[in-house]
Amino acid sequence: MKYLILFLSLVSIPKIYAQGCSDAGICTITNSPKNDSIHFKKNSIEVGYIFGKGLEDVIYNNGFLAYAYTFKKNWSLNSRLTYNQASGSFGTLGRLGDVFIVLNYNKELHKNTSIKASFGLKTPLSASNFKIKDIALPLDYQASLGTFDALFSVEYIYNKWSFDAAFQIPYWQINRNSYFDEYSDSNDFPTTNLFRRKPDVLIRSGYTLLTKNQKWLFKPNIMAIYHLGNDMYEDIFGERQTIENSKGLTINASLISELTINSNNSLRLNIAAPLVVREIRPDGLTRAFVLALSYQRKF
Amino acid sequence: MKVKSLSFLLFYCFLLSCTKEGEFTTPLDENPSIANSLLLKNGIFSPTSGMTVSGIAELRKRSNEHFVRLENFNISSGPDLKVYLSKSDTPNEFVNLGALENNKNEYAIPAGVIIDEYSYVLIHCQQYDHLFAFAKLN
Repeated sequence: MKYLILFLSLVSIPKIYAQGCSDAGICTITNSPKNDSIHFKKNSIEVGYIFGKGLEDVIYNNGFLAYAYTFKKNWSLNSRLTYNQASGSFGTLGRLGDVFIVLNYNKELHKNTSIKASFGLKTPLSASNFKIKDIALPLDYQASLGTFDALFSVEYIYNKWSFDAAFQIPYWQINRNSYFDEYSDSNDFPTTNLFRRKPDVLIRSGYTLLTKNQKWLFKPNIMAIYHLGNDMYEDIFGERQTIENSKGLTINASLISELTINSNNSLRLNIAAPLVVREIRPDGLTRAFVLALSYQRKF
Repeated sequence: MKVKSLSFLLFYCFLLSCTKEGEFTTPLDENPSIANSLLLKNGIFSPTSGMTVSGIAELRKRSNEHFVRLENFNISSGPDLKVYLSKSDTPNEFVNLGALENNKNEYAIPAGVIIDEYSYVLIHCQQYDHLFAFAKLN
């Protein structure tokens, strides 16, 4: 009952906006709900659809394709290709987003205790400067942030609890976005001309519930993301400007539900919404609500 | 195998790039009359190496607002062309007047810009930092 209440409270949070999962990458680096030693297979593919409600009237319809390969007892490699489509007053723009490659190391320390370390790279497939009819679009509409990021995470699992910490560090920024609030018909998005983004740090905790027949898994998570500095842009005079109050804390809550169809196939539903938000989010990570449905097949 | 093929097919459908105009990206016919504006300066565009350009840049004033107007303007296509009001024929000290748009020939100069300090109009590709054309305003 308490999880039903949690679920209902998540989906009914009205009109609050935050950095949503699946955008920057940090949210999904260690988002593994189940230690799958029972149904272990070397390979898996996952295809997913993500619906998101963003700032103002922006709606997101995103997709991803992921492949995971376990090449040694404790080592695995995950890859993920994303597609992002945004629709709103500026129109609709859909493009490939980013490629993620993540190396994972799992180690069982004791019977009910394990640790997982991950290192990944995010590669953008665009410079975040797609336009519609020559008109520059804010980052909320861009398929990628235009940053090459390094991702680090450590996850500690104890019985049904999991705790993880992660960093996302942009090490090379090719963002060439050219959106100026001054020249736009909209007043809803800040200037992000030649945008430069700061790193994020994440702390998350989750609790796994498995039904007796082990078919259903539920995992509520609470996640805090701190954006470590104020982002920057270049103004109309070619001067770098700091976007005040773009650093700060975001807290998201999510509920993962997973149905194991059989030893090779499973379905996952992830519902997430923000509880606390940064004052200014020029990077467009402004999901008010995210619903992700994915199908995974192991072989 | 069927399921795998279906997954790939579904994802392939997603991969199709899509673009659709919206309220803020529907091109307007922005060719207001010059009858009620005053011509202050003008200059003929010259291309940089490998580019082609034709047309005139005009600095005009309407009421208390200054703007750059491009007359009979044509230029080689570029991925991210911007209109700069510049202090020299290179993009060092400039005011970015926004993206060069096909159906737009007037570019407003923000209030507070000291017009007399700027004597060039540049067409500059911001994404690849490449100057396409310049016009000296006389």
